[in-house]
Amino acid sequence: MNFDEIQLIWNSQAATKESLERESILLAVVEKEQSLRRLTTITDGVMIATLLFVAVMFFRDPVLQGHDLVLILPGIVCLAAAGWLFKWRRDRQHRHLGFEQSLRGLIDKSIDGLDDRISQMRNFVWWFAVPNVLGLIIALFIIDPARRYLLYLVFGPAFAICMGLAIWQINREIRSRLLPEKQRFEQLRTQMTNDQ
Amino acid sequence: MNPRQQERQLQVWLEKHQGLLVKVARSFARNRHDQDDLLQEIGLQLWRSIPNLNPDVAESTWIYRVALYTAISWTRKDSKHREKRQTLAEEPIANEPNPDPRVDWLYEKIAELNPIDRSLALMMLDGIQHRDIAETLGLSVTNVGVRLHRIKKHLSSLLDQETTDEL
Repeated sequence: MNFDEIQLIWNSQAATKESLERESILLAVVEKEQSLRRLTTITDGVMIATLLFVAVMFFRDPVLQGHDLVLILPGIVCLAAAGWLFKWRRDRQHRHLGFEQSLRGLIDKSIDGLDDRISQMRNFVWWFAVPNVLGLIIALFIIDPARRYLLYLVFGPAFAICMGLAIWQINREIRSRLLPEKQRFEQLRTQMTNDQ
Repeated sequence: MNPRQQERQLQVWLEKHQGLLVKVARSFARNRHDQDDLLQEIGLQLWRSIPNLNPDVAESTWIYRVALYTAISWTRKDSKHREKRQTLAEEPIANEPNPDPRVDWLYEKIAELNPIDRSLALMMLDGIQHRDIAETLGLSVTNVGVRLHRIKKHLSSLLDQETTDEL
């Protein structure tokens, strides 16, 4: 028996009988695409907008009223973080254009995308938490004339716990979802290259 | 390209390449429900690929590339769902049987190959040239030749075995 028999079996399937429900696929595609685009835009937008908003709040008193000039520092840090986030996103888009347009290129692109996501999540502390914490420390401990130590006693640990939980959740997400997914793509790439 | 043009382009592709898409879905998803799910996902990825369409690449090669990539990624996601379903002892809905039972047998054997060999087998059976397969998958032509030779041998021996068992 040779391969021609297999080819005959394959050719015997009536391709014309296989029909797609094109309208329902098209409808599902349009809906999914719109919801995905919305989600990505909202997520990125909210992160950048939050940093910009916080920056504006820090700048308000020093710029408009000319006091508490020290708040300019966290404002600049927030602005820099927002700019860095925007640049990160743009760099990734540019980099992805350079990948080879083959299945292997798509797999490489997925691995790069996952690496990028993992890195962005791991750096969350630096681009989001640090600017905000810096601002809060300055606002509460340096500028606030009331010196409400009892409030700080509650607020400080509560904030630390929230940040700790956020970081724990991020690491859990990386360990349970992103790293295994990356590993699977790497295995796939190995399957492609091990016979080269 | 605006969304309306994109929609038209996708409509044309779904019409023109439905045979190819159904074959990919059948090779990567085991029942009708999963195949419909996979076809929707392939449709979505094809839609998203339209603005990046490279005019130097043949249309069918482009569609194969996107469909196979989506199917491979989907299989990996689906295996998790399948594990969950199996724990619930849910029976998969079977495909409608083909008039020639050997076609179902062949799909079954193709589905047992690893995702890369499965992709190679599909394109080979659809008569795609080695050069185009190599370009689609990002492998060298020599490597494609070696792998296809091995797959042909494997499938032929399975058919031999099947025929012997029937006798």
